[in-house]
Amino acid sequence: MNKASKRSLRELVRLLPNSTYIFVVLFIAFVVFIPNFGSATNISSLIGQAAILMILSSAMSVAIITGGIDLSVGGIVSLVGVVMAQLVGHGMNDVMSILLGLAFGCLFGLVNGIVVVKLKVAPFIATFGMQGVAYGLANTLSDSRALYMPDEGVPVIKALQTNLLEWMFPSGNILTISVQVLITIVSLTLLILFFKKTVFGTYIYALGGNREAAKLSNIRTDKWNIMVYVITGLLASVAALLMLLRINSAQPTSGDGLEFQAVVAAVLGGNYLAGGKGSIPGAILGALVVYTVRNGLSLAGVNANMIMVVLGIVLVLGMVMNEVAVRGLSFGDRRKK
Amino acid sequence: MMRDNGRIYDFSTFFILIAIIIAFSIFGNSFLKAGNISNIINQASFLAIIGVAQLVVILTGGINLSIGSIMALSTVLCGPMMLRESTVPVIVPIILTLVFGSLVGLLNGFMVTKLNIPAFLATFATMYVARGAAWLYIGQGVYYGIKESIRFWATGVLFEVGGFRVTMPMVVVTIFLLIMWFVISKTNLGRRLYFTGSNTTAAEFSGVPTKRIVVIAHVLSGLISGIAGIMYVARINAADANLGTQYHFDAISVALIGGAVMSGGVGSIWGVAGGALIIAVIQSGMNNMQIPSEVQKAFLGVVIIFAVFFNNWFQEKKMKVGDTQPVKTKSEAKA
Amino acid sequence: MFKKITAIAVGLTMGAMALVGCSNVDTATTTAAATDAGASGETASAQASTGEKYDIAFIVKSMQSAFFINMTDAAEKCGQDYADKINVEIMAPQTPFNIEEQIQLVEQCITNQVDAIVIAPCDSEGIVPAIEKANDAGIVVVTANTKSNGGDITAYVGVENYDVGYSLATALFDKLGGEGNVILIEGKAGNSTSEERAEGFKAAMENYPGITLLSSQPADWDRASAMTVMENCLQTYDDIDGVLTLTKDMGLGAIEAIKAAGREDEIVSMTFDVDDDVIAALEAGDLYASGNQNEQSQAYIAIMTAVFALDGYEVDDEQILPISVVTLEDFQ
Repeated sequence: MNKASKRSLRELVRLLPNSTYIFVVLFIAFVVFIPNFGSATNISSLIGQAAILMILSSAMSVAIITGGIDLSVGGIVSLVGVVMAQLVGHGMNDVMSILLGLAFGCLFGLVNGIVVVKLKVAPFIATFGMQGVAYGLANTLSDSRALYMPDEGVPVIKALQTNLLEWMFPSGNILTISVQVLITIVSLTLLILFFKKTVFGTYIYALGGNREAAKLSNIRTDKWNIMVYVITGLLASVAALLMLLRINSAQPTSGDGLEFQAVVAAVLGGNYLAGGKGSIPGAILGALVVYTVRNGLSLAGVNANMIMVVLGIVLVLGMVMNEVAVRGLSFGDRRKK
Repeated sequence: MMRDNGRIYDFSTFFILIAIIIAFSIFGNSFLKAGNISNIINQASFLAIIGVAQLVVILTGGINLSIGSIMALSTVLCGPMMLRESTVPVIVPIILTLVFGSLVGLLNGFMVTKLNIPAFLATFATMYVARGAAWLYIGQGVYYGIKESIRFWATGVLFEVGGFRVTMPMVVVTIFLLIMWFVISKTNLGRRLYFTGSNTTAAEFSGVPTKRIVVIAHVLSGLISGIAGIMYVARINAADANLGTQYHFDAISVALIGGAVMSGGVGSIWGVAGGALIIAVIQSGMNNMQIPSEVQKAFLGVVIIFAVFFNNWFQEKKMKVGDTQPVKTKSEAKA
Repeated sequence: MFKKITAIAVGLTMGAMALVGCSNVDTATTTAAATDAGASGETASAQASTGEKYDIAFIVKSMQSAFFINMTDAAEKCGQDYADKINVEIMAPQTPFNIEEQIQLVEQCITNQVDAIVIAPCDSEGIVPAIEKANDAGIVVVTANTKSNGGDITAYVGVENYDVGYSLATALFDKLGGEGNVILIEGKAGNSTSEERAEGFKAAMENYPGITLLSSQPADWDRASAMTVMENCLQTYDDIDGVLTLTKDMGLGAIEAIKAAGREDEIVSMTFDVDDDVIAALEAGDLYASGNQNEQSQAYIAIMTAVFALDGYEVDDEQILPISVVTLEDFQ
């Protein structure tokens, strides 16, 4: 291998999010060892399963890059789902219900942003509190009951639940791309484009890296910081829509615990909780890692409790691997005495 | 400086507590009955323990999401020995539970310091591993029917004064809080916990073995989770792998309302005690007013935000008056 | 380069972890492959669909609940009893009662091309899209314990949750002589099983105008939560005559609260489901009665129903098992 190509290879490796390694290694191991894991049918369902977490973890990574965090995303998933279902239940047109639901999520995010920026409450605490508010509202609005989609009068919701494309392989395996997956891909692409092609991305990193410097260079830090929480609110609402489509109903508890999983997926994807570093594609891969482990082990018939144990261990090993990939084996050297 | 902050936070926590109590006694009729107050303090005792388990880690700038899982795992492992029909002396399962709790805490500390994994992810992983292990160990059902000598610590009533029942948990937790207050406020270890959390680099330069302190904080947190585990098991009369699935939430709420700051270095034992009381008062007061439990969680969320906002505001005000030093409030830095 | 090598080394360890997981499976599940010692070199579990044996997936709501573990035990036993004919694989969502994760499990069954799915849905409505997918893949679906509100269900085996609430409430109100203040402790908010039982309870109340429902609160099917809910109720209401909890875990938690308050003599407690702990509580007089739905039979019969359907026999599409209200006398 000549020098130039070696360098460009190194460059490429550097550009990849850390979680790429874990994902690739796990994926290959599972394809080899677990029957049916690599089948088209399973890959289709794996992507469908991971979709919600992919959206939430990329939303989380936007907040994390600014040095913040949004623990209310799980609550927003429950709340916005309930709002959409209630609007449909009261006879509103389904497109309007979805749009209003998304708007409501943005509004909730705006409140998060205002509490963080204007009231100067630390993001962890502000969004932790707002999580409770979202949970309470979701339960109150639904009377703590599951809300079901009517069978008729919701053509768009029915359409969103269908498959866009089905490809039957000679083996009997079916590769399906559902509308839900399409929504996921479109949302994530838009987010990444918004991040890369507008000033937003640059400002976000500036906010997380050195806020004072950002302020001095005339970035309206407050405005952009609030914007971050509006965006996480919007993305969480998209996740709420996906959840609604997937479980064909809205449940006031459907988002419970998703906020922690989203943080874990984002961190696994190389986002630093201290802010300033990290990437959205990394967070997406982080979410895929979590679901690859779950899906693979479950497919192999591992006991649900054993999966919990293994998933925990894989998370730790994944983080170790991130460290190794970035810094080499230097745990000892960095210890100061 | 640090010590002063601690006092301000304590003060505002109790201010909020009093405000809430006044509000509930106006709206709820039987709220200030002695029996009810006794019930509230009794429930708050349990919350205070898990709040302290969270606090010791938060002080160093970390977080522990595995508290509930540690409680379940450490008690389930010792479950058979705690049953009525067991002939093992009571002290054995108690000591073993604490040892198991500390060991899981040590594992957390190891992952955070040696493997450089953020506490959020490391303890999340432990939350899964410990919960899964508890279920794999117990296999089926629960260990039901705990020895009376253990149950006494969580359910015993010492005496009753005018309807106010002085219960064992109140006594146990008061002693526990006093010990923890001494450890955190009066010992070298306590000072180092604060120092590590408020400024790791500075602490390292002044010779504090910060990594070791972080490990100790996690071990301590595991140990206290073990204590909490025993208390809860004694209370519900069963060792159950489902114990405390939501307690990481409760623990964080208690610590935050009690004035702890996620980035470390701020918080106090009495703040946590106040936080636990506030939550117990809200639960009881809103039950009294027939408000459903889901709304209580929303109200609690608002209280958390308000408590922190109030703390910040109070601190800024104080700094304008006295302190000329431009100290950035911790909470502003980021969680 | 060294970094990359170490990264790969760590990766391999992770691969090995996955294998540890897999090898654990083979001992854990009741694949007949274990008895079939001659099957040398054949990868176990999923591939076993060769030959005459039916692959049956048995999906419950949680592996973290004694009730559902009773069901999986019965399913496992059924698998062993008919080891030459069926291959039972047991699954449950990691997060207890999580419908979304249960849908994932159904999808995985479709991937594994099982012959039949026997499932206790976490939510009757939420499971419908997943069951429709399984129908499309030609898989026989039998529901046990909890119904599905849609899809092509070959059979339902279990009780009517509405009747559970109705008959327990009736027994409680009769015991109280048709007069008194009662408390209902429900399961998880929004869960259809809990809702149907609560509806049955409220329907029974209409027959007893002397009964007042003081409070009806969810306690997440959890012992400690039920204890807290009950403590608060005891504090709020000075006059409570009866308590019904919708499952035994919550029932035992509520009893602890009542005993701690020293009011066990004035309050009649009832719950649902029976196991050793419940019998002990009945014997101690802490509990007046409980309902029995025989979850083991539900699991066993549901699996056998799936087998009959696969064999081409006609099966009854609603197999409602009776619920019996049991008191201490039934165990003496």
